Amino acid sequence: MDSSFSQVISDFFAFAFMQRALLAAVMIGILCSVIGVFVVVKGFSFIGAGIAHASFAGVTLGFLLGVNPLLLALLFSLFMVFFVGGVTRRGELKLDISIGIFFAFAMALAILFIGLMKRYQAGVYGYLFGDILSVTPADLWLILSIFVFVLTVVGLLYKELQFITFDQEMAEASGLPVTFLYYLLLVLIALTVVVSMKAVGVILVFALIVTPAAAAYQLVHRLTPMIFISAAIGTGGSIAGLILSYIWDVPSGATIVSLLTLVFFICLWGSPKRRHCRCKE
Amino acid sequence: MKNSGRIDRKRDERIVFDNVTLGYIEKPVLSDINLEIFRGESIGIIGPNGCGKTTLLKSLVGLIKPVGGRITVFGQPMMTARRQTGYVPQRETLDISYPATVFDMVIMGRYARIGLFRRPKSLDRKRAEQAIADVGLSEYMHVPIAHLSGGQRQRVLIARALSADPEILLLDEPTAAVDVRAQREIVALLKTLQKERNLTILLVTHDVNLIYPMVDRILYMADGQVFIGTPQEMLTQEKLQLIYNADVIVTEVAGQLYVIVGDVHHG
Repeated sequence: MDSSFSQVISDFFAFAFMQRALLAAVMIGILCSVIGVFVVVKGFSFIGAGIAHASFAGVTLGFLLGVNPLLLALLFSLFMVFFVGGVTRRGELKLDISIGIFFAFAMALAILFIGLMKRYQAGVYGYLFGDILSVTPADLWLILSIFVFVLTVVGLLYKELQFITFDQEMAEASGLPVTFLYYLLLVLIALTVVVSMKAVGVILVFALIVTPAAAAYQLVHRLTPMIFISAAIGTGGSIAGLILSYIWDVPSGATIVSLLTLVFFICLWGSPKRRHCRCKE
Repeated sequence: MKNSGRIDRKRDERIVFDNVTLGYIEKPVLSDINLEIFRGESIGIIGPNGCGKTTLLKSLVGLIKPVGGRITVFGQPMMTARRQTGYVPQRETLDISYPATVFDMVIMGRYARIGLFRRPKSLDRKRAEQAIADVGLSEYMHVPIAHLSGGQRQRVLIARALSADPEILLLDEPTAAVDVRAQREIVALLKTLQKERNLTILLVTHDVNLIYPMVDRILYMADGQVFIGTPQEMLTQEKLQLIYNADVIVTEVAGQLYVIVGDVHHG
């Protein structure tokens, strides 16, 4: 058993595509789970799901027009961010209503664009369900550049992002540039979603963002440790999910997300916060 | 009675509302208000729900911008001066599910002073610790905010405002929904802070009895207008009946005025 497992692992690392997949899993695991902490504490889960679906409309249009799908995915997700963010901030529509409308509209566009394609495009379904094994060296460079950019911004503006996700009104009252920070956070979420989409797919990308952060939230009472625990869960889950999917010969994105969900339920079960709630009752 | 009060001070020692209109142009919450508040004064703000008490406070930290008129704070435009102002919002706005300890939350009050891209220094940490000590919560420094009582959460909100070394403290119903002991402790704390730091305090409340001993003047707001005067001028039976639109008795016990509001004739 041990020798066959070692053989599988040895085979796993022998292939260049597996090495690329592993590197992508590590970077995406860290990126999604770090940005996911801000998504969870700010209550932006639904807006993130909306961004993922808007991105998919961009991907399908990219395939239809023969343009880089990730570029159009980014444009669509940024449009969504500024449209939804704008109408919500101005109080014209509630957040859930504006996202609900845009979410469905983006999917309708994606279906229309697929319908308009003259021939079957397998690549579209790769973005829908994710295919981390097909990550190319160019994809890796793109992931690396977004990884460095997003984490650098988070590192430089950590205290400001902490304040606006905790109490946006008070952050504004204290004199912080809240409008800029609010849109910046949404742009960081959009970049994270777009760059992770090819690896885990539109449907699953948001689980990779929300689940590790939600699991970490169960365990700690401070933001900084929550980020490190979330990153550890996200990275560990991504690597383990990738290896398991290779061993069992099942889709990698779904394996990663299923594993992370299992970790979330374990964290929920063992959460000191739940014990504290029960003690208070 | 409108806008009565001391006016023999230097111009840069006042918060001035000069013909200020707040709200929407078509439907203002407060119209053409003129008001002068002096440095070191303590003002209690009363009035019926929806009369614009919170709007007035928010206008002093730039959360609501005037649609007409001008606000100056100690001689500076309000937007320039707002970093001298500590705002304590209503306690219900505090998200206690957020992963933060008392210290994490209080030091946020210094973030705007520290500036973008910079990390808090030891001075910032000391200021935050001092603010926590000032509100009597030193032993709760590293306790999650979710584990605090209502009164303690209110103190943390005050500490966050104090950590930025403000000259003006705005408090929106700081004694609401906390027990009587916590109410008295908060009022005593505010009295001490004002005395020690010469803070200018504007405090919104529904409990006139509680704040009466600590305020220099009372600001009454109704129907888009503001009226200001000393407690003795404002806390008369006639005026309070208009304010509360109910029967009111004003009585004096041990040298202090007490206001009883309600159906007092049938009680």
